[in-house]
Amino acid sequence: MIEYSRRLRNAEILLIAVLVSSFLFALFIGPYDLTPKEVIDALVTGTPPVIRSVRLPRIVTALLVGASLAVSGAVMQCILRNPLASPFTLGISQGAAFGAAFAIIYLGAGVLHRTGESLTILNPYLVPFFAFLGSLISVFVILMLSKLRNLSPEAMILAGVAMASLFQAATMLMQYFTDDVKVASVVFWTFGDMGRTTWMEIFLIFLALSFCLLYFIMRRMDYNALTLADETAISLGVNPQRVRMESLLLASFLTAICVSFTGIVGFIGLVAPHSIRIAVTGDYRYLIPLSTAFGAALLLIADTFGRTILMTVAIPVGIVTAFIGAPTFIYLLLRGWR
Amino acid sequence: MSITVKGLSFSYNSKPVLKNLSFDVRAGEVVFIVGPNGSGKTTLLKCIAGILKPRGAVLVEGLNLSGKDLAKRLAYVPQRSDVAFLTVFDIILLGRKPHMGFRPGKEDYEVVREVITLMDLDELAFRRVDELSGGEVQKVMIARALAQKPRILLLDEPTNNLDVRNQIEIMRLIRKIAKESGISVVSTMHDLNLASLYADRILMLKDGEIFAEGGLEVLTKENIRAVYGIDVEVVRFNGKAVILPGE
Repeated sequence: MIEYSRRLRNAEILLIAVLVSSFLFALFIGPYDLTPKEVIDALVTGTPPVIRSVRLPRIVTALLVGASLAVSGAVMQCILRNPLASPFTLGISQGAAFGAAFAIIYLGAGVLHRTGESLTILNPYLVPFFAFLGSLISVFVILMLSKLRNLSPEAMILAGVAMASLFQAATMLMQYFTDDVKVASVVFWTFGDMGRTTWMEIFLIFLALSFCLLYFIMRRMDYNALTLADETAISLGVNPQRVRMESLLLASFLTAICVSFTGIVGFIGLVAPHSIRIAVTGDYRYLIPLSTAFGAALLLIADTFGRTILMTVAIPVGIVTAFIGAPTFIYLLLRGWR
Repeated sequence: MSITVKGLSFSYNSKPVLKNLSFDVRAGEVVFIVGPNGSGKTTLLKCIAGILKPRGAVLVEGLNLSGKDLAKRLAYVPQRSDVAFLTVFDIILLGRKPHMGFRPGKEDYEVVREVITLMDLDELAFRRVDELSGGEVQKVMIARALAQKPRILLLDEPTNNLDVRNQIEIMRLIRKIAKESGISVVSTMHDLNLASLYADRILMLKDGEIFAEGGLEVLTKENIRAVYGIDVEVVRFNGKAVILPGE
């Protein structure tokens, strides 16, 4: 009892410390060289504008998106009874990429230029909008199938994998028949990048995250019940089908919003919840807040690493998360998984 | 009456599994459902537990209940339990789910501690369930059901993964709880000897119908031959029936 609650307490303290220090580090470090005092001045006065208009939105985006992807992953793994489940297993990212590719190639929406090291999008709203639509298609197909045919969680995952392949093929087909500039634009879009969002978009992500998090926290005991067999959950007064549907919808929606504004960031939804499960607890009362915090810290650290490691170019965070995440994850598996 | 089952029928994909069953269970009574594989024992338990929706009536303490209201009065332990990354304590705490509001309260934690002591699980309380043996998991699941403080306890093959000592301990404990707190226990059982040791009443199912119902007197050579299709010797010993395979 004492050991267990100490472990929970330690994890909370550690995560808060990591969050705060990675926030400060990300704020004070960057290619635009400023002393800590200048950074604080810039925050207060707004000059130079780089802190308020570039660094801060980027940091907040990374925190919110990391939190969203991690908590969605935690919930998906529970309701789909599959440790590999994440919103990406259900074809959400592939759907988003398809939508973005469609908008870029056929609507001429977002020919991305490379000016210096940053990207400019000609029409900033068409691409996220279509990415969002695309990512919701697979979710709705899976939801409809499970509603009509009463699919098991395993079948839902398989349907998601099928949708993902379908979208991938469709995206490749479009790329095959278009010119190389547009192909490059599509590829650039798919690299997750925390530097594309405006404060308005950040606010939207924040709203979605708050709402979903509230729902997930409200359902935390139901998720614990769902880790047992569905029959047991029913006998405890839980309606598994309803919890599954609502949670799936919200987690997918949250991911879809993040992906459409920032592009594709893999792995956070797997690494964050599983690390907490292995190292701390599988109890959803703690797992939900802890993986949310861990995901936020992880993505911020990865993004800061990506934008500072090479002085001239910011490496897209999606690449960094995979490079840092995969080895860490394998290490955790070797150490803790039974 | 604790449970009243009237005209209960159930079909899986239009294949009838249970055919027009009717019986009652009194408060504090321990009833074992016996019968060969596929005779509908588990399906019957699930129908009573509200997991399957049968035709006919299942009344719990005279009421037609579902969801949380049912969960406050009736607990169900399935034959196999998926195990998760939860501790024994967390799993047992789930038994308080129907009774708690937004979060578990002081009383809920007290009930969990009480059940942990009752089931002799103190040493395992903060271990993860996926580290435990099959028998230990079964005990945890029964503890979870007891934490529900039910009026009715439904058990599907509760002794399945247990060694002889644990089988006897669990059955004794369940019988004791039934008698002391007036909880009705309905349990499926493969082992006819265990059934004869701890049952107040036995329900013999055959092809989805009640073939025989009553006290230990239903465990006869003839009934067992008719239901299971095997020849046995039934020896009466200390008022119990001992079933031995025949020659």
